[in-house]
Amino acid sequence: MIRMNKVLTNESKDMLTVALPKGRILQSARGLFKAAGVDFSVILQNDRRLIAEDRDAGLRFMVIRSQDVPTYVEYGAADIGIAGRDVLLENERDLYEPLDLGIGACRMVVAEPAELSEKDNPANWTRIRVATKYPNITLKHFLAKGIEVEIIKLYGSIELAPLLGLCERIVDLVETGETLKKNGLVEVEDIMNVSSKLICNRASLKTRPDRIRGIIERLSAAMEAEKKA
Amino acid sequence: MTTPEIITLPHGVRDILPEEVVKIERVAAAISALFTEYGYQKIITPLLEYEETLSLGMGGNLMEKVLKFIDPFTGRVLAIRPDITPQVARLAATRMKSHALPLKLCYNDNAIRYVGHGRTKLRQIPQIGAEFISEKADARCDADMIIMAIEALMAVGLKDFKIDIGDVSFLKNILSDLDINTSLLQDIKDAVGLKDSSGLRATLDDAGTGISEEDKQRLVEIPGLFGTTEVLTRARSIIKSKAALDVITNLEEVVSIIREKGLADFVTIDLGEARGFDYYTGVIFEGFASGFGKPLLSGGRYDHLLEKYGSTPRAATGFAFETENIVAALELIAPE
Repeated sequence: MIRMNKVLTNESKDMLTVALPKGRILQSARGLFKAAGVDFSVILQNDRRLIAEDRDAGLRFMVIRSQDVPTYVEYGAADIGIAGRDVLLENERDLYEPLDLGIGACRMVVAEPAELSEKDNPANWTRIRVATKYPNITLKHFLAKGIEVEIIKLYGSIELAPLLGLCERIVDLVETGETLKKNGLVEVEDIMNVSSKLICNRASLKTRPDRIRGIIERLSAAMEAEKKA
Repeated sequence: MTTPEIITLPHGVRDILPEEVVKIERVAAAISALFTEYGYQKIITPLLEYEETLSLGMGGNLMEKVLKFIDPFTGRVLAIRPDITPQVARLAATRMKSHALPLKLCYNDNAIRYVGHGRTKLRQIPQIGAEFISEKADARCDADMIIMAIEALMAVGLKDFKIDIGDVSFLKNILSDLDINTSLLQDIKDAVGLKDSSGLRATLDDAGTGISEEDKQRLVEIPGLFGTTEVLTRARSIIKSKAALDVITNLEEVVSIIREKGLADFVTIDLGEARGFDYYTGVIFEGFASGFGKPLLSGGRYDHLLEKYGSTPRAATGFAFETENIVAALELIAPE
């Protein structure tokens, strides 16, 4: 039987639960959300705390791993959340994605060692081995080009894989390109731009449309104001 | 002693034990009683059909989710029904074609289909549904279906829920007025489906001058056209397409019939919603309970489905409750 966590969902229906990703995105989103009337400073004051409430504003915040945010929101354990486009495309969950927040901007790319790149031509690839944290996006990208790809799923330090001979190429996020450079890698293909999005549970949007729309509109206005400033 | 591997069930199906069956039966009895009161007759359709027959009524998006296998005796491909509505349409178009209209049929059965992305998860889905087949479509038929859905949810004991109404032809009509290629069309539909106004804006900015700035402004408003029934008034001030305005007029009528019944508070509108089966042609609706993440019911108008099975043109609308979701939503408000 499908059971939900009664402790958190039943106590107050006016509470809106916001799932926030642990890490640097949270700091960049803080000002924008504050300007939109969603102030989650309370949960940043103590980094041991995973859940905090702002009863006056009717908001509950939870801080979880960024990859888990879409899961919590899809199942309705959180009403809205902040999630990266990379995570959303990798897991393809049934959600609304009303706003691109424009924070945490980076790119997903294919990279390989600089010396390999000198004589390599991506147009000639037919079968390659790639290490990545994003097996689904990687598979889709190469299948669309007719390239057979062997994917090695790793959980971190992807740029080490080519150095140690695990594979020739990687698919990973780059912000400035500094990490790639330090590890002797160069970018050979651009897959997509990534930034953080506001995501929303379907049932939450349907049952509390005015509240959710209010947040979307205020965030949107705050982004406009920021752009002008 | 450990259980031998062989005595297990495939992923996605399960046994239901007496304690839960009691709850399911209670829900089913309340809904069935209401359907009977409204003059719906129960039918039972088969678990299996020829894939060719089933696929007549199902768009590509549903056929990909079907569990299929080959009949070892005839060599033909058999399919387990992923949805019951096309079976009802087949029955109404063939065996029951000379029955008096309107034809009101209901069922309480299981569908089996692959769910989620990647189509790797099989799931058995118990559904209780009703289908209304008539000569002509009008707002009254759509409203009556929605009223019956609301009354059924109240009858099972839910109070805090919404029926969200949309129309698949709203966006279709607006887009058909524009001169754009199919890939751009799909990008626009995808963005609207996700309520992704930023993505929609970016797609339209890339589209160049094929679409006027005025039309772009209108399109980016669509993902925000959800909420209480005032949305229809707001939409009327934004939309210029004649056919889309007709859709709004029809929805206004649907809402006003529901309002006469005193049930308008249960209704929300979402003009950006166009999800659901390929066979939908008009008004669609879904039910949601506060604090429960999954839909309780879904349905809509499917005016051309019977024709696919050889019928003369018929109007039809219907919906199905996801029985397990209703039981779970009840647990949430009144845990035992």
